[in-house]
Amino acid sequence: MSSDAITLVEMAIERSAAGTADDDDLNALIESAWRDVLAQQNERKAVAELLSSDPATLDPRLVPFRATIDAGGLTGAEILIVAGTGFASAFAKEFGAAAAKALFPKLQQLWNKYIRPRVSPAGSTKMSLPPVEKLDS
Amino acid sequence: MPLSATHKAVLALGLTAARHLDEECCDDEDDAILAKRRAARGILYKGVQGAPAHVTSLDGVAPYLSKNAGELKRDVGLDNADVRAAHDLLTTLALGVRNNDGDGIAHPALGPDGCACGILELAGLVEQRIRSALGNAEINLPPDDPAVHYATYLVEEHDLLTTFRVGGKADIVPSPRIVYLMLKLGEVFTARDMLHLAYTLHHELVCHAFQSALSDGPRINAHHKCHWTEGWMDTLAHDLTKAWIAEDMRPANWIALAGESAVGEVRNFHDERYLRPPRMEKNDVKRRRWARDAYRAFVKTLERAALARSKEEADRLGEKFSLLLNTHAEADCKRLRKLATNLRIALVSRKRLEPAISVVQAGLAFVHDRNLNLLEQRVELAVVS
Repeated sequence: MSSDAITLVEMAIERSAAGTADDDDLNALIESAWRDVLAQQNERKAVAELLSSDPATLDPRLVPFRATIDAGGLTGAEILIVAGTGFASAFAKEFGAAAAKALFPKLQQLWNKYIRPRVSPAGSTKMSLPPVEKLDS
Repeated sequence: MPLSATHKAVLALGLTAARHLDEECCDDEDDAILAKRRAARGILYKGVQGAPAHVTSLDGVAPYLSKNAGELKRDVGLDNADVRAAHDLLTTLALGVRNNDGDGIAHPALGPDGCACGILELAGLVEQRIRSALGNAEINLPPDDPAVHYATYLVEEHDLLTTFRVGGKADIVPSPRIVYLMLKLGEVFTARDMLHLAYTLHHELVCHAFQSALSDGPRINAHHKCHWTEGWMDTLAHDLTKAWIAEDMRPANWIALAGESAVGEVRNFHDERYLRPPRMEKNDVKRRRWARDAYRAFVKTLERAALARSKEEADRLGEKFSLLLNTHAEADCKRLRKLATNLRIALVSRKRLEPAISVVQAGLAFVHDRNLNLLEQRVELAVVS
């Protein structure tokens, strides 16, 4: 994997004040949301198009996002969503580092449109809204 | 977010009012004296309000503080000791303004780079106290290790700062570890706000900043539903704050309110975290409360089972066990959370003394052997007994 791809896997997608779910809860929800997206043929196709990829190559085991606790304390925790290492690495291996780098804004769309609404639907308290800040790519 | 020039001035004036001019801390009943303090506080309030317009660069902070000190002298006079103290503090702060963002490593006596406008001096006092508590628990850390960096920011509004104006969080993943302190803008600060600040500093250091302090490996931050960090350890943080604000211990030039009022205020701040904490499921709030109860039961069992000779010794052993566990090289918040659940079951839920005694004995053994695996096994055995 090239160094560009290594940089990519550490890119942050969202930082927000934590809701009721911790990192373990969120990672389980993210995994389930990703499986659910890929199980819907129309959504699998749409995501593949978004990522300029072949629907057949999208792997339910390669989860694109991972949640970590960015800070915690008396006023509550902060959640950081990052592009999942395995997913980006596999993508970089198949399409090259430059394509992997261009993937980042698409991953943000994937998160915002397909995954986040499943992880924390409207009215849910699993994650807070809105994010504290949008991170630069 | 580092402190801007305006925020430095706002913080210096606001904290000066809290430290020396809060009417609640005035021993005098004389109307003339009270009127002077009110007038002095009014000048500082006006100074806070005027800071955005008058302080637009770091070079402007010191003159602005001196101007406000001058107004105290001219308009109120310095015959009252508290007004004089506020005047002298502002003069000192003006000399101690540094051309930086006000954040950094804290020392009780500010180093050459430490800006006097913020909370670094207070943070240094609390950090020194916590390091001393760690030393008493025979946790051998080098003097400045792990290093803790403080970052203060003032906010206009925050959905988590509704009841109180002070908040905090910590990030222990990077080195140095970072403690963030958050203060809500508004009126000048009060002596009660300073108690909340003292509690927040104790909480962030005791519960978070020194968690896994002996570990060389990767570290993880605790979520607010971690009942070990936010319940068990927070109870210790409360007790350490309460002891620190006692009449003979507190740094009176920072913590003006003393006695029952101060103890009650710290208790209110602590209790709020167990009554209506935001962004938590009901069961997680329950677990936080149970963890607090478990800490109390641990200490009480030491006494009841005559495993400690006095209440003081029981308190000391409870503190030592908790600090050793929280800083342990192999411990992280996830492992400690699981252990805290078992501690709670044995100490609180079983409603029998035997499992509680077994857990406390396991805790005392851990204090000697510091073997986390053995402790976990012993506690699990106590749970199923």
